[in-house]
Amino acid sequence: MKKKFTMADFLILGIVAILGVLIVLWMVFHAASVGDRVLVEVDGQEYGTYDLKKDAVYDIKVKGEVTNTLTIKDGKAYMSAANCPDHLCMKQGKIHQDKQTICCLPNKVVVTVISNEKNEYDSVVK
Amino acid sequence: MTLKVPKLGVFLALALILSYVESLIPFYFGIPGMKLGLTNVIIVLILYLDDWKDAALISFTRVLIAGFMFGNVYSIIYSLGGALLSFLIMLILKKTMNLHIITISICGGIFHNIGQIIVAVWAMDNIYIAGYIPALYIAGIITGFLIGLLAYELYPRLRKVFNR
Repeated sequence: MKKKFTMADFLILGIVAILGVLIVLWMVFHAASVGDRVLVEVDGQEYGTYDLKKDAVYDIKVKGEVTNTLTIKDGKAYMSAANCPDHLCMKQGKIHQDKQTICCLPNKVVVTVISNEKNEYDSVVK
Repeated sequence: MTLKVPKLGVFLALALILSYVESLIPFYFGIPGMKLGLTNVIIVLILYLDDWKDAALISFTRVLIAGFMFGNVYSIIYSLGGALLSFLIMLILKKTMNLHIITISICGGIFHNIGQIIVAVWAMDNIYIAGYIPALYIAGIITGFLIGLLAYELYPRLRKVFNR
């Protein structure tokens, strides 16, 4: 094993850094707009869409059994209960921006924020 | 050659203990698939101490056994995706270029996370999960660097034991 970093290392690390900067820039320029609905999918199948403006509690049932509970409050959606062992979906926090997701891997439940308008810009500088 | 079996057994046991230690550390910042990747230190070390075939064997058996002990079927599938992609990238880089152990580890860390996301996109049939890639990419650089540093310090110490 060599002790010092050489050109090859700096080349690879440079590529890694440039890729990282590009990914972050891409993320900044695609800063999400606020969505108005959430789409709930179970095992890739659409389960339902719910309005973000309306405060409510929805039970998500898989094969007749309530696996996850989705709560919408103050325009934000979050997973308030889940029967999976790790409860990671509950720790994923509240979502309200377009295309933000909460996913519960064990139950295959995915909650995605969607909006009616596509490519919605706050302002355009000319 | 017969000494290889107990040596690899010890390394597999180490990898499993690290899997367990990792499951105890609450390293979670709201991003699915984010992991410290402690066991990768074992894989990187075997890659350098021994050959790639043994590293692949340890990586695969580690994912299976750790999955059955501390996880479930889903965690095995996600880990397998991450372990496979990260291993392939590390192997290709190590074979083609003379790279520092930390560089290899950083690339492994990044692609472990990306591999898990690819499996998640496929398993959940939801492309939006790919939105986690930026966060996981940066997390992979940080954890990969730490793991690489650990491997760099451990290598000269373990080499004496392993190649005896």
